[in-house]
Amino acid sequence: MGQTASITQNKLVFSRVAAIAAAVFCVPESSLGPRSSPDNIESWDSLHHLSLVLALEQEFNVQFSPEEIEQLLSMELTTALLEEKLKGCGVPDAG
Amino acid sequence: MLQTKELRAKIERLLEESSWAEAHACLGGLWRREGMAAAANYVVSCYDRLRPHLHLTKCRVALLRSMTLEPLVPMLRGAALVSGIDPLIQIGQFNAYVQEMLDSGSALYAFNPDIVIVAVQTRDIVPEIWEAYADLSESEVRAIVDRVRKTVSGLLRTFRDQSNASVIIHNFEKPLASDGVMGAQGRNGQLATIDRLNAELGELCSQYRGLYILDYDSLVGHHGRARWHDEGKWLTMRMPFATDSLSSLVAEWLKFIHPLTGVTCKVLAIDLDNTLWDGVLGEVGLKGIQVGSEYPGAFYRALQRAILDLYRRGILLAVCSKNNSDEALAALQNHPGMLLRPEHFAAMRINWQDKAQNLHEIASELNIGTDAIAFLDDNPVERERVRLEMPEVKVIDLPRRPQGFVCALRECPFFERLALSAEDRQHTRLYGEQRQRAELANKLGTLEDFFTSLDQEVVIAPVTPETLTRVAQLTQKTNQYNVTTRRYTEQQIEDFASRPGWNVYSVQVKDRFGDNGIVGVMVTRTEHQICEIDTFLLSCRVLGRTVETAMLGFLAETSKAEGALFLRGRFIPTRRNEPARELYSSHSFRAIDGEDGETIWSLNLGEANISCPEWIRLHGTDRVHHAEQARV
Repeated sequence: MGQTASITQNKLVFSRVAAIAAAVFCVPESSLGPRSSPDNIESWDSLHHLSLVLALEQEFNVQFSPEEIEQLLSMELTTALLEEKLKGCGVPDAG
Repeated sequence: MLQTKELRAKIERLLEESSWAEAHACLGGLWRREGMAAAANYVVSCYDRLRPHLHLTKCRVALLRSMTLEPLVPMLRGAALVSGIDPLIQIGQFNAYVQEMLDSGSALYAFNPDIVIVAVQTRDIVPEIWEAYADLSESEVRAIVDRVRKTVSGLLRTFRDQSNASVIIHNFEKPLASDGVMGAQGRNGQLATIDRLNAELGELCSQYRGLYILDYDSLVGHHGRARWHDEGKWLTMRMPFATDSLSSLVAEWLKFIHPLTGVTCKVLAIDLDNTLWDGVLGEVGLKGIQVGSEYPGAFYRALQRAILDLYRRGILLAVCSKNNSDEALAALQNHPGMLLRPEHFAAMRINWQDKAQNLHEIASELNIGTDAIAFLDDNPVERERVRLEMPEVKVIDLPRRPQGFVCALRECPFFERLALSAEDRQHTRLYGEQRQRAELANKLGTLEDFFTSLDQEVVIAPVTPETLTRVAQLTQKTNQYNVTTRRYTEQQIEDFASRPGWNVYSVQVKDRFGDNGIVGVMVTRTEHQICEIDTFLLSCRVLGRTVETAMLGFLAETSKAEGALFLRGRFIPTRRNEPARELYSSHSFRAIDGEDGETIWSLNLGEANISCPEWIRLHGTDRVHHAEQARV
């Protein structure tokens, strides 16, 4: 039961992250998977990385430390870190 | 309220259906809900499809900076696009603003911007004052202030010599005082020193045309100094702002871009019940509505004060309310707590009609386009209705509680002005006189009788430093009687006036009801014995009174005296300038050429003559003779 809820939440967070990343990197949402990273998304350079961070901070109402920002190096890692940060405070409603 | 996903789906559908105006309105709605980094690229990409079908005002904006601003670029574009401005943005090299301004071969000058934003920080320009103030002696502080004045002055002068672009420069921001509470004491504290730097900057900017201060320190203060910054991002990525600050900074830039591009409102149309006062007049009566110095009436009185401030700025006010007219007028006239009175309003529509219909009537009564109207109403249903019916009207969103009304109005960028001319200050009084003129026209028989009875006096003179602001402003604001609709800044007008062969004239009109002030502008360029009319415009205040004939008569006479053989004019049609279409044909000009809807007109000065109507007294001064030619 608890596990199912967590997987559902995982999917929800991932899809929200993907929607934002798609908008920031100007790529179709469907082209983004867990393994998407600066290595395979051409527009994911350092300035777009900053834009992604800002967009995620606004969307999820969280703040990343400089160390965390350096860790957000794939969609998977980004989603995982966000989940960690959101744990306990509940996931805010989408949009 | 639609969810974001549904709203986006709706926008996609509207784009598919080619419902451009509605898609534009919907994007505005999306932006108001989530005007943030994630939505910005989406909004901007939608405009790539919308652009050819909408009337958007283009401008070129250069961002010079000492910090990372890239993430703000799509936000600025998105915010500008939804309010009708299509900016092309160039961002300068990181921390290279000095070289870019000094080097006439830099990318900045090649870009040929209309607007330059200089986004710099105290800690970049005077790091010693920002972080090591305690190390400095009094004389060292003085020397630093002196050095900054010289550097900035040199930068601004060099730039102004080479470009006419308007410049918006961030002023010096204060840190959390490093000398503690002592920092605010006396004249030598850190904070007082930064105040002095800002005073110097203000002084420098006032010496040149088109240099404007963005009060960055107040912006940060208003937002909350502690909340504004994110030191982690500053140290790692050289972006000093917290995420929440981004949209505030973008909004502040737009407050300058709106007046600089002329995308502004001239009229504020206001609802009455629960907007200007608390309560519904028809239900609770004059004694039941609340406006005054006590809770909750004080919130409404504060809004009236903010509206009165706009009135002093030259914004026309109109009432647009569903009410019984007599009752509402009596409340405006007699309620003791009211700051706004009937004489402050240039037009009133108090009835049970649809508000969109009333706004159309207000626009035609005041002789303005409906896109120059902003609409203020506490009722979200009325706002939505006006948005759908008239997407060109700027609808101001009021929060549910009246505490937030004043802020919502003051943050609206459509009322921003960068300078006030004497005409602005008297605006509403002039409209009051206009009403009397209209009444006189109804009384008199023939048009000639009316013209004669007006007792008009037209004064045409080369532009002077005193009239420059007004002349530039007219080129930016006049839409209807404007044959070329070329928008010029004060710097450009000043530049034209100094070129050989060019003339810039202001046209002032007086009549028996008062002085209308400067209401017309002409810009001409004479070359090879052809006097070309670059700009010819008249404010809607004096249309239909043959002032244009007096102006053309003046041009014919002076250009002939300067040796021109032909007077040549051009008509460039826009959505709004139909009233000026017949200017040249009705004054014996012949159409000689044209393409893309534009027409070129010529008058042979050897054959034809344009005389000033006998009911106008013309006083003209041309630049060459400086002699006044009075004709009575």
